[in-house]
Amino acid sequence: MSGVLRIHQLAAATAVGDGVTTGIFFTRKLLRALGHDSEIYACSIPPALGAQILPAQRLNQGQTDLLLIHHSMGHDHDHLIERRGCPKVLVYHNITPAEFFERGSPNFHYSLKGREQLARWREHFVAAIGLSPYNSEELAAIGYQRIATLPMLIELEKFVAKASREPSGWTLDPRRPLLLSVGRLVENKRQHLLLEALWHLKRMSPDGRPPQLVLVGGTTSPDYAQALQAYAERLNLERDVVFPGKCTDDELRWLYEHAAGYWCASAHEGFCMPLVEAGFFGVPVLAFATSNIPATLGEAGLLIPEPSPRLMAAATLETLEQAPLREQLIAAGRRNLERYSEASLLPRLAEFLAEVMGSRTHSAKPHSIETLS
Amino acid sequence: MLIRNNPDIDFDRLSDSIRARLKRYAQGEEQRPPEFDLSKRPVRRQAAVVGSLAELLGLEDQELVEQAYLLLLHRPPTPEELAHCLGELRGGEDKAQVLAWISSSAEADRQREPFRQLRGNRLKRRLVRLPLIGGMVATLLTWALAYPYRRYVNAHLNQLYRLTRDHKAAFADGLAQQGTALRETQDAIELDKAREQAQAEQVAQQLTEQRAAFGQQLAEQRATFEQQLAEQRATFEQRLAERDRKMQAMQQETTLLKLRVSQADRPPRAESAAIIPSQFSTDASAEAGQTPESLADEALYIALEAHFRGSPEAIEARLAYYLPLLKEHAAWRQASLAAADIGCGRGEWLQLLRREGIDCLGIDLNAHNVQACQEAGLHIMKADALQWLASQPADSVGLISSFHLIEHLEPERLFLLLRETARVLVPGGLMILETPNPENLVTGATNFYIDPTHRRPLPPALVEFLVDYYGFGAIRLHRLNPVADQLALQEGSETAKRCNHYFYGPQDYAITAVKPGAEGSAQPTPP
Repeated sequence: MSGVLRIHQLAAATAVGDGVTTGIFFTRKLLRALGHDSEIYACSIPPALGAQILPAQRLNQGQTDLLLIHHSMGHDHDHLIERRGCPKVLVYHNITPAEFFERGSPNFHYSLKGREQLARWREHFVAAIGLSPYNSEELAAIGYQRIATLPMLIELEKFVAKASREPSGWTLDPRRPLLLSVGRLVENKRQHLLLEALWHLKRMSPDGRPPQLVLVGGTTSPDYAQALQAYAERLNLERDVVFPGKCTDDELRWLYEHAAGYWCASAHEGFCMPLVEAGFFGVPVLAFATSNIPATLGEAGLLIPEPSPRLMAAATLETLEQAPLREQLIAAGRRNLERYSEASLLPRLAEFLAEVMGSRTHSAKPHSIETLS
Repeated sequence: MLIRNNPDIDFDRLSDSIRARLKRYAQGEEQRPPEFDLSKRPVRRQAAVVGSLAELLGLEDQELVEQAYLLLLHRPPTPEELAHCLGELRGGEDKAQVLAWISSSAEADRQREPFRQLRGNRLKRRLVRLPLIGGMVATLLTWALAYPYRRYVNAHLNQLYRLTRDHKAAFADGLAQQGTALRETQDAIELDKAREQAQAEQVAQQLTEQRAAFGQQLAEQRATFEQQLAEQRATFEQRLAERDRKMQAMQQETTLLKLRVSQADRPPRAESAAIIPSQFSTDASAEAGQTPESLADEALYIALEAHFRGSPEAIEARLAYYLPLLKEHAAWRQASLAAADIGCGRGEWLQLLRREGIDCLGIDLNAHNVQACQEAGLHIMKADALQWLASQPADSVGLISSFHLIEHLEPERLFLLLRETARVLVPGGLMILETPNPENLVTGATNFYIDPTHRRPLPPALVEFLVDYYGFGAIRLHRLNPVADQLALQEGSETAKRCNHYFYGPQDYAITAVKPGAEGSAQPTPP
């Protein structure tokens, strides 16, 4: 492959601070760093991103050498994919399975539709990128070929050299260790297991100053969020857990900077960006080993194989009390970042693009997942 | 217990520690928290917006029904209840009657009854629905309640007026908001347009820059190419010139060698008078076979000359014209060779000079001429004039003359003759060149071509220019040998005068010139 290519990206929807959108911006940065022309197009663009993302109808397929199409939840813009004549590569962000949503809800519908689209569009793509090994395995299982695993998701620079701000009005006790979990309050994130773990931890703590838990995240399932708060009351954890809702970037940065541990009880994660962010801030992670979480963490964090709140509580106390273990976890978290750095991703992305564009001009022989991932 | 994902961590030790902690924990207090139950979430009572029956009656349609349920039953209506109540209201039923129906349910009975007024309505509702007397009761009630009902209608109309006014205001607000939103959208579009325009301008700028850069690159490449070409050409021309120079040098060397060979046996100049004739006769016979012209052709030329040029006496008489010049320019006296006559022909000039006491060497290629001169005892040398000149040292000859020779030469050889003459003459030395005068049209157009070996007529101005060009000074033009007066027209008119000039004017001319440098004058600098 030689010369400047026009490699653009297309997504059905974009949102400020959203994981998919962050990944799209990061991918554009990588493509431009490789010397290619690259723009982002989307059907839904929030006003704050209007200057950086172009409307999908302005995409000129005749002037596009390769189009990266991002796919997460299903959507109703099928024509965007099916009518584009230029070579296309699927970038798969994973779809939360429908079983984690209430039957009949929009999320349930679009989760099913997203997977149905994934299977139906297989022939439209010359290659695919799984943003995690878990995603790549799912693509391979439904028959995609020429799959590369490239976690182009994290713009770590957004945390560098930026100010943090202490959240005001929260009932945080600075003398108590702070445990953090970030994610929407929704059934598949299983924050109730974290409340249970906190309940155990409170009983295991010898000094009577058990950690406080902050569950950051908006509500997409009001019933679950209400039940969660009721559960906290039933466990007498009103003074031990804080539900601040969604946080601003600077508040989140403050929380990471002051957290003694990061908890994740999720039953399903396509990638789980906060696990890497915690590594960036030197926060030891404790998580149940489900879906892509072990792959995202690599050597970082403590992985608990079964969803046992008691075990999570006991392991957390070990990380709080054993300084060497704590240091090892922090070092592993920082090492883990390298896998998601520009320096690590650029040559792999360049190789993938060379394979794809080379095969466009020379042969159409498909590669197996092993050759590229 | 834990997944062993990090080789740096001692998982066995960690697991032991966790196990011990859990064991201690198991011996302590209660370990089982209440289970999480999604259904156990706080049920929040929904409060009605309105607080009184009067406020409720001020509402209409769906809002009335929803608020009535919240006020009377503390819950929203089910879809079926909402549909039923809206059906009643939209069918013309009185609002109070609908409220009475809502409050007549068993569920309402369980609630604390806030509005006793509705009890009367409930009774009225039952009475008007009685068989037979229901209609009569309704009529009586209508009569009885006509006045309060009229007040109610008036109040309601008043409320409608207020509502309309409020809605109008709200509509106006909405319009204004939409206008603002529209303007914002318009601004956004303008911004987008400006951005696109800026991008287009940027692209155009880039294109212009690229074009300029390309043009510059092209010009640079062209300049480089042209320079290379010029350098190669210069090198080539230099090599060519070098080769020419070498060839010329070789030719000159060859000529010199030949002349040296031919003059090897020549005795010193003082003794030459006696020796030269026999010497040159030997040379002439020796080279006769080498000349391209056959002896027969040379004989023809001699015959031609004899036939057309005139007798030797007549020619001598004409040549006497130059004798006074020899007195004016006497540098020949100091020269190592006093005089040389190039193309001396039959030797008339040599004869004349001999009588004047000047020893002149004749140079000629024609074997018959050479022979005639030898027979006349003149100093003669059979040689090519130019080769002879080239072999002479500089500043060595006092007088060089050439009568009717230069019209036989190609221009290049004429130039060479002049250059070599300028070199060979002593400073102050005299050159005499005589040739047919083409200013006389009969000479130029006819007589000149009687001699088939003539190349081209030479106008006096040309020869004068050339002589000047090769550095001679004291240049003089001598128009000679006009046609005899008796043959000319009588000059009674301008026409006759002009005719005489063009047809009967001088038939020959001579250019005489002196090599500068004598008596302090500058040396000639032949190009």
